[in-house]
Amino acid sequence: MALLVPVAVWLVLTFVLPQVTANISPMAALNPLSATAALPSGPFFAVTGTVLGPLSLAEAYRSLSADFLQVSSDNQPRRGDFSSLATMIIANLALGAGLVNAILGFDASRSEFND
Amino acid sequence: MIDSMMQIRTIAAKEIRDAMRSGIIVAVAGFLFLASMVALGVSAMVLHADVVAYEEAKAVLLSLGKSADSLVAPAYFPLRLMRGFIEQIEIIGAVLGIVLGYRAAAIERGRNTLALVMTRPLGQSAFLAGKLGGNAALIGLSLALAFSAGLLAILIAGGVSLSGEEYLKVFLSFLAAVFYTASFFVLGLVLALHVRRLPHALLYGFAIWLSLVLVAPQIGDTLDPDNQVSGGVFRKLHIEKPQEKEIMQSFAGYETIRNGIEEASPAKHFERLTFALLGIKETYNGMSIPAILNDRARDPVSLILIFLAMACLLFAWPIDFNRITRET
Repeated sequence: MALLVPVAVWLVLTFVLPQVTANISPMAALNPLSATAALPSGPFFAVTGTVLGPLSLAEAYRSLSADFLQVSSDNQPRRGDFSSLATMIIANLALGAGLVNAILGFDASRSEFND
Repeated sequence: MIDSMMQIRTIAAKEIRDAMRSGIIVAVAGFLFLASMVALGVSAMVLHADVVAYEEAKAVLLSLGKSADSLVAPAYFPLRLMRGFIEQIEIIGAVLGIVLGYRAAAIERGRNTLALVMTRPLGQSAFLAGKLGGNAALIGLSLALAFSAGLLAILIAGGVSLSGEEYLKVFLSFLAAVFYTASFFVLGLVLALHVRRLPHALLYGFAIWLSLVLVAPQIGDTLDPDNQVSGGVFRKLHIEKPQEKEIMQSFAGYETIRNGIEEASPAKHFERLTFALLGIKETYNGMSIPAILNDRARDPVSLILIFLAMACLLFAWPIDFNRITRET
């Protein structure tokens, strides 16, 4: 389960959320060129982009790296650089805090076969 | 023979009971179900937005005096809504297979019951056939639930009825998904039966999954000259199909290597076959099933051969009990 849960979270962040927030199909989600695609229009994506967009870590990373590598197109609307950067920083801080908490609360007496 | 069949049935039934009791199958199959339904829901939303945009544009044109007869409504192919659904099965279905395969061996290795079972008058082949049969039933059931719900969603969201041939196309896509997922199940089982340290088997399984399902198809897609610009470089440059083919002949060697990398992946064969059957790839829209299978014969044959090769490996490789028995 210790391996399955992170894999499941990664699958959601990488393949499910970008589809819900930006209509990026799952197999295209890893393609760096998907960062250059324009955000879809319509009320559905306006709502999901606003509500779930900040949680879409993979999309934030793709958007930021596309800007750094200058592969993004300037004339297409995409998520703001600030919100992508904020997502990355907040996610790293939250995961760092979770890691510290896990180390402080680590119970060495628990055997792998008792899980 | 009758004894063997009874043994296989008994092990298969126990396998199904164990898997249901552990909850892992419910968790992974449930995740696959939810992810594929989300993909289908998003596709329906995109279609709805396109219909609204079309109706608005049509209303504007009619108000400007354009004749209603001159406006041709765009063709609607409801099965194309299944693109994201198929891609989620391509990614998460393989995970389902690996996890089930790992669990099928781990449950015996963790309790040291594998050697004990083999002390009974039971052949290794019958034991493995029972494991394969029970888990194939679980895979079939999980995918049948997802495909049935997907079909239902298309009928409701699309507001259309499907023809008998379209139902058959969805059924053939389901069969392809079963073979594809079962191949990854056998991979997970082989690794968990033969790798000395059990957790490493899951890591190796995920490494192979990453290489075959995500990396190889991605290399092929990313190196495709037409994919260098969002929307297609030839379409952006207004280059027609015949000219495109002429240009690509200059890159024949490059294309052979790129296609070879893609074809190394069972995921790509599954994707190409189902995209053709469901008309997601436009050139196959409206084609009959025999014509599609004739054109894409390599893909179903490859999927079946990959599964058979994995099954041969499973049955031909003797289990070394001394190597995998857990020390207490």
